[in-house]
Amino acid sequence: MTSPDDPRGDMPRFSAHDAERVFAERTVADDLSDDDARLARLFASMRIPDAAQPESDARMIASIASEIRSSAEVRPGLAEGSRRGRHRVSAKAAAFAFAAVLASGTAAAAATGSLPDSVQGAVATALAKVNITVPSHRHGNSHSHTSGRDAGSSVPANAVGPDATGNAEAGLCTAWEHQSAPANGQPAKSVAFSNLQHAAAAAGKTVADYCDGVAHEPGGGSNKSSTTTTGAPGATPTTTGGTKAAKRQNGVHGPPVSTPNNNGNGKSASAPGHTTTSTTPNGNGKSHKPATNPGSTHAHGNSGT
Amino acid sequence: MEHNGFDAALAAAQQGDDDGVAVLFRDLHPRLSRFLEAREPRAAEDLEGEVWLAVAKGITRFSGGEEAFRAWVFSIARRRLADYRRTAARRATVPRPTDELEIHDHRAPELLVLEDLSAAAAAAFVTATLPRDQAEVVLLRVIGGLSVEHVAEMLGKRPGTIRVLQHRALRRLHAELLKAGVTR
Repeated sequence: MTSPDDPRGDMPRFSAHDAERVFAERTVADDLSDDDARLARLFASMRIPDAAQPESDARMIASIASEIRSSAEVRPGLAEGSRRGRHRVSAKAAAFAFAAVLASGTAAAAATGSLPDSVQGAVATALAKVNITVPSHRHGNSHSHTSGRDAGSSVPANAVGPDATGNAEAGLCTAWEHQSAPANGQPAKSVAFSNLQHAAAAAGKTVADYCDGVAHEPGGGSNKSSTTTTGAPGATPTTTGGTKAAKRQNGVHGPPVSTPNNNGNGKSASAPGHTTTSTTPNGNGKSHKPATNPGSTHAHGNSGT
Repeated sequence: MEHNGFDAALAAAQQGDDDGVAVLFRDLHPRLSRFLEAREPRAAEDLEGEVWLAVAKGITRFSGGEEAFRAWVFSIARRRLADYRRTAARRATVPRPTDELEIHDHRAPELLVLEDLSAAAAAAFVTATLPRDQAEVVLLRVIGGLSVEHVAEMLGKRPGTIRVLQHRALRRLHAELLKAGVTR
């Protein structure tokens, strides 16, 4: 006894060629044997299209197209999202770094590459946007972040750096001491240190001698800076070396990096009346530590997180 | 569909262009709809929607020719069917064999007149006549318009196995048609 599934039964055998002809969509039943033709007709019946439903089809098509468009938008968005995730981290690091740098009173910590690597990189990236070059990694790495047209050059031609005769002086000197430590082993190459060297040379001193007279002054600040240190809201700043106008004349755009933050929100104190030195109480009533150790400076709850 | 026509339609559809989507939809939707109706008539409409949604979400990543595209869409359809059946089986208060569910559209072979047979009735006849694995091969080959190789890949079998299954299906269908006195 044979089952219908048994190819050895009495029913016709279908060669692979016949089977393909029966299954083929364009087979004309007249070309086939009666057995094959029946099957081909059955299969052709299965393919008869339904009556068109233009309205529902149009709605469906529009929905599909819309979904494709939104998927196409979302996918890069997701990728962007993951990148954004990374940016969020670096934004936090940047916010922290900015706060740290500003709290120290100078950008020297970053300029010397003495911040922790992750923070240093974030600061370097952030400062590059305002055309200020600092090392992106700790000591010995000459790779710098610069703005687009300067990319590839460790020190962009138009980089100005902090004013070594102004607010940044104390911090730069502190940073110089750290940078000069044997562990660093790298000569000063940054614009900030060049400025410091120029300032020392202009005073007819070596950097060490020049800084000797600066770093140990009360408050660790520069006696050359005439910034008032009241910290009171509305106090009129009298800074002469680091005003925005002065920076602008020097080709620096954006927030003055040597101006510490005293408004407690992690942003640069760009508004007049809020400029203060690093020893001045900040906007939240806490006093910033003097910038004696840039690498360990902390933001005071204003990292934006 | 012409080779270039498909490529152009696919490229347009991948950009979310309505016309490109329309070309693909009008080519595939009747097949997909027929396939799902034959496999799961009570849920076909919902499943169609799910399949097209999945197609919309994944089409930008698809690359390949027309038949590969059909195979991809039918693969999605099969997965949705399987999901649906799993869910239905969990929800069922009185479990019934799946075969029994598929037979509900069965028409007596003696009523078959091929010339007048509707697409749905023809598909139902095939589904009711053949064991599930053979019916699936026939549906994918006839309605899906897929090659033995694509069906084999989709079902996770060797092409030779698919040929055997389709051969048995043809013999069984032939026998049923003869029994019903259906002539050409």
